[in-house]
Amino acid sequence: MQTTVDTITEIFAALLKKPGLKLALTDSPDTVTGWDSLTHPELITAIEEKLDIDFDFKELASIKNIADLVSLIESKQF
Amino acid sequence: MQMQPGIQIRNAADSDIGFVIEAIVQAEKGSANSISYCKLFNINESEFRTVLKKILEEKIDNFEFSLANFKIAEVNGILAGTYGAWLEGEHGISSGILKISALKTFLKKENIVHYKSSASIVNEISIRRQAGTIQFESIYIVEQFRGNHIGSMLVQSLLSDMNKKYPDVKAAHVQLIKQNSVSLQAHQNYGFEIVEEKSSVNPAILNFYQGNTRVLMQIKLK
Repeated sequence: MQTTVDTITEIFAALLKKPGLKLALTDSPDTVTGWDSLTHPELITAIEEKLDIDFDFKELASIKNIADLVSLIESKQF
Repeated sequence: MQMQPGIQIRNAADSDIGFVIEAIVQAEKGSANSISYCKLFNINESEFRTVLKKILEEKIDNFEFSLANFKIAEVNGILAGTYGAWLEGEHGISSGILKISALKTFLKKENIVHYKSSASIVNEISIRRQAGTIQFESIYIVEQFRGNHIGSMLVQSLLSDMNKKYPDVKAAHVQLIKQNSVSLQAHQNYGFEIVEEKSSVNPAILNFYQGNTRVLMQIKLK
C-alpha cells in the first residue's frame, strides 16, 4: 500500500525531474535541490489535485519539512 | 538619531492595513514605475491590492507581507511613512516559501502557471536571503514628509526592537535594484553598505525592474 511519503515522493520526483528521488521526513527546501519558491506552488498544487484536498495559507505556512507535509495531508484524510 | 518634534513611531495596527498596502505598492513602483508582481502573475494593480489585503489580514509573521513587520511614522497624527523588517527563517521556513504560499492561496491557478514562466527571468538576479538575518522591505515615505529623516527613524526603531528581541543577530539586510539611485542613496544614508551584487545580461529583466542589477546591502550589528 502506498504511504503518504510515497505519494509525495512520486510527485516531487516527477515535477523536479529526479527519478529515483528518496525523501526523508526531515527533508526540506534546504536539503532537496529544486524545491524552492519557484517550484513550491506547483508541488503543492499537484498534491492537492492528486489527493483531492485543499490547503489554506495558515496550513501552508506551517510546512517546514516533509514530516509537516505528511501530518497535514493525513489530518485531512483520516 | 534624535526623534524629531511631532514625529511618532509606533507598531502597525489593523487599521493601518490600507497604508501598508499603499507602501508595498509604492515601494514596488519605486523600482520600476510598475509592480513586478503584476507582471510575474499577470494580474492588474487592483487585483494585487486585493490579494495583499487578504494576505496581511492572515497575520502570518516573518515574511515581507506580514503586518507585524511594519513600523508606522506619524507627523502630528498624520500617517507619514512606514517600513517593515523581519527575522529571516525564524520558524524554519524561508520568507520566499511563505510569500509564494500566500500568493498561491489567493491567486488563481492560471496566475501561478504564468509565474512559473516569468519567475525564471527575475531569478537571474535573485539573491538568497540568509537565515538568521534581519530583512528590511517596503519603505514608503509620503511625499510631503520626505526630507525629515523619517526613513532613518524607522530604520533605527526597527533595529532597536529587533536587537532587543534577537540579541544574537549579526546583520541587517536590504535588497534593492542598483539603478534605483534614490533608494540606494537613502539606504547608504541609513548606514547600509553594498556587500553583494548580481546582474543579468538578459534584456527581459527590464520588463520587471528599472535595472539589471540587484544589490544586497548590509548593516553589521555585531
